[in-house]
Order: sequence, then C-alpha cells, then structure tokens
Amino acid sequence: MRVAPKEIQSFRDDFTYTNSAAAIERFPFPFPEDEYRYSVNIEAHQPKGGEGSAFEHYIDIDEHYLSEMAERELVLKDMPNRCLVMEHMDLACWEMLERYMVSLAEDYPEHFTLTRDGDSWRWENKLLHIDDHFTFGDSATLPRPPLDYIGRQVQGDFALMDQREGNLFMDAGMVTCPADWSLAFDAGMSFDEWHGPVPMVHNEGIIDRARKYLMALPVGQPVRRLNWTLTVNARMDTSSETYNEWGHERASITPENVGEKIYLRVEVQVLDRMPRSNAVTISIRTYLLSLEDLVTNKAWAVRMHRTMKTLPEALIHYKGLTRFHGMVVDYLAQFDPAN
Amino acid sequence: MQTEQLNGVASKPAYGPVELNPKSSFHLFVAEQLLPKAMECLYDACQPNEGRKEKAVVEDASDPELRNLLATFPLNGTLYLAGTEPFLWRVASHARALGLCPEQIRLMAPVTRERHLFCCHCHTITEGVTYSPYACSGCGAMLEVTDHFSRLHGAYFSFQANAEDSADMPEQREVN
Repeated sequence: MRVAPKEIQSFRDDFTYTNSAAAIERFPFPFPEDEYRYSVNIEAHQPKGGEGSAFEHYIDIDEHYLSEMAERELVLKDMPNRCLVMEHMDLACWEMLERYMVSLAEDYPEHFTLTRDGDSWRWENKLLHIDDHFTFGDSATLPRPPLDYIGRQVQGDFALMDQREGNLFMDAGMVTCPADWSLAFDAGMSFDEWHGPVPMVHNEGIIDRARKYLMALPVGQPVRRLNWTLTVNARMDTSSETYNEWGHERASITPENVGEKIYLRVEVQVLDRMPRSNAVTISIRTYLLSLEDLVTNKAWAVRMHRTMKTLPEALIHYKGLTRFHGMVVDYLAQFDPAN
Repeated sequence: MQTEQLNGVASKPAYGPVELNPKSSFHLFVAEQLLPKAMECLYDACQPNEGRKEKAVVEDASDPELRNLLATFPLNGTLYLAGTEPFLWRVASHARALGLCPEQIRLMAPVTRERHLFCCHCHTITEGVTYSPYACSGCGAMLEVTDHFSRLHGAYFSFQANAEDSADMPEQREVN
C-alpha cells in the first residue's frame, strides 16, 4: 500500500517525527552484507521492490512530504544561501525542474499536474496548494528561480554538477538536510575536492572511479547509490552551519536512551544527466529511522549489529560516531543470536 | 595548476617546484609583494628566444589592470604567481574566469603558512591563522582548523572546536 503524506511533524526542538509501520517496512535499509566496506555501490535507478517501495518511482514522495517541506522553509528562511546557483547553471536548473515536474505528474497524478502548451506551462501541486502558470526557461515568470522553486516542492537535497576540464564541479545546489557538510563552502569544488575530507576512499581509488563513471553517465539512464550515517534525534538539518547547535546532542546518549535517540540516516542518491546543459544532477534523499524502530525487523537488527561492530575506526571518527558508537553496538548485540 | 594530493585531505593544495614553460611566447610573473627570491631566479632564468617577459607586483588580487592583462592574455602565455595562498587562488580563479586554462597558470609555494579560515557557522573568513583552535573574527567561536580547502574562497574549512562538549576544548596546535 502506498504511503500518503501525513500531517506536519517536526525535525527540531520537540522532534515529533515518527515513522508509521508502513514507513518502517519500506525504509531503504542500506547494508547488503554483514561486514561494512566502502564500494562504488552504484546501480541503475530502476523501479525495485514493487508498489509502495521507496524505489517504485524516480522521485519518492512519502508520508513525511509535508513535514520535510515545512522544515526546508524554516532552514531557507534563516539561511537563504542554502540554495546557491552560479550563473552558468541556469539551463541545468530548468532541465532539472522539467525532469522533476514530468516525473511527479506521471507518478503521482493525484497530487501533481503538469499542463504544457509549448513554453506555456501550468504546474499544480495539490499537497502544497500551488497552482502557477509560467513560461519555461524564463525565471521572471516563476515566483522564484527554478531550483529554488522546485527544490521547495521535492524531498531531499539537490546538487548540480557542471562537467568540464575532465571533472565535475558542484556549481549549484539546494542543501537543507545534509550529513554535516556546507554547500556555501563546497560550492564550485571539483568532485575530488568536495570528497576531500572522506577517509580511505582516495587511496583505494574509489573517488577516481566514481568520477569517471559519472562523467560517462548517459542521458536517460539515471543511477543511484546509498549512503548512511547515524544521527542523534530525528534532526534533518545536520549541516555544518548548525553543528554548533546540534553537536552537543552527540554527548547526550546513554545506554538507556540509545535506541530511542539514535537514528539510522540513509541517503538515496540519484544521479542523472541533463540532456542540453550536460550537467549531472544529484538528489540526496534522506530517510531517518530510530534504532528502536529498526530492530522491529529482526534481519535488519542482526545485520545492523554486525555492520556497526566491524566499522573501521577511521569511519567511526569521520562520521562523528565516536561518542556513542560503543553504546550502539552494545544495544544492538541483544538482537543478534550469535552473541 | 597543481592540484594533486600528497596525503591527508585531497582538497589541500600541494605545491611542487615551478618550472618555466619553454613553449610560451609570453611569461608574466605576478607577486603579491616584493618578488620572492625563487621568483626572481625564475624571472632571471627566463630568456625567451621569441616573445616577452614581464614582472609585476600586485597587492590586490582583483586589481583592474591585472584583470585587463589577463583578459587579453595570449593563448600560449604562461602566468606565474607568488604570494600568500588566498592571493594565489584568487588570481588563479580570475585568470580561469577570463579564459586561461589550468596549464597556463603556475603557482609557487605560498610565501607564508598563514591560512585564511572559513567559519562554517557564520561564513566569515578569518585571516593570518597559524594555529588551531583559533577565534573566528565574525562570531567569536573557537574554530578547529581543517585541511579541507576551497579554491573559490581561498580558505580552509573550520568549525566550532568544542561544539559537542563545551568543556572539551582541544589543545592548541600549530598548523602547517
């Protein structure tokens, strides 16, 4: 059964965010084997898992839609520069808007409608009560520039990479729920540079291979990969910008509250080539699941325990898990019969 | 531009020895302050059979005269830069925007190890940083200095050092 958007819940302050049983069932659990290792874990972004799966459609709209859009508004109101677009990326932004509107209207006709007559477009988003007429390609006819406009209507963060000089450059993006990075700082960087702080991957040649693969990505053949970390509380905006506000929560974990307060944070990253600008768009869609909810799935509980137990020290540190990683492993051990 | 990585964080620039480009017909040597000795040596050694060489001291990386020069830079010209790290990357970034390709730009190792720091919380850039943690000149937070470098900002990434536990301030260390 498909999950319908529910009333607004919060990702800050009182943290009213919850997952329904259906949302837990469709959670994109990221670990394919017991021992964790880095890999270029890229697969075709094709439907997988049948109706209601998080991989059913190009864009996944789920029960958290209204909550995530409300959270995004709060972040952008406070820090408008969480959305940055360099001048030469305008066409790429329009192409992304087109790609998203077309797929949303096809996949969720009950929520979104796109009517096109040449360059005269009408976009209806019934979930957010939006009904706009505009001229495709003319930013003056939209309430906001194209990335800012569509980004406020789709869950997940977005980065757009310009391809030139044998590299990919992050020259546009809307980033309000990142796993501890800053778009304002990383803007304009090459693929290698913005992955600069990631440990282990450079010597293993992973970043190089990933970049070459993405540079050869053909139009119409999007790919996806999963990434993950652990977050304290159901906080969407774990940006570097606000680290001084949420960092102390990492010191709030105890053996008693670890199951409730630690969330597995999964990013479904979809990479897609835009046909005219040749840019590569990345959507980084974040899913949050508390350990308490995660262990209701017995297979996940066992695997999660083994993965956390074998996590290399460098990754524990890089992902910011040092203060509570031991408590996570201890908590999960009770669900693993091998212990 | 030299961007290959020796070790540590991949975005931290590595500066190798700079050599003259024998194929160039125009050699422009630009320094932020007095030409450092290494650049004087390079300038003296430069004896283009054909073409020209010039040297200039330009304190402001966005100097209009320099920009004019770069806007009409010959296709087989080479630009040599010396100065502080933010200066090098700012001029290089202007040069790239004005059409020079990476092979035309050669950066000499920065003349000081002082860094510019980008505070990820308030986005202020603090200059002249030689140790970590260092107080942000914008929000006052004590910033942990990292090796993650932005060529666009000419600055290193930094974040509040004791955000997780206010009593847990890292010991002061020098940064290189």
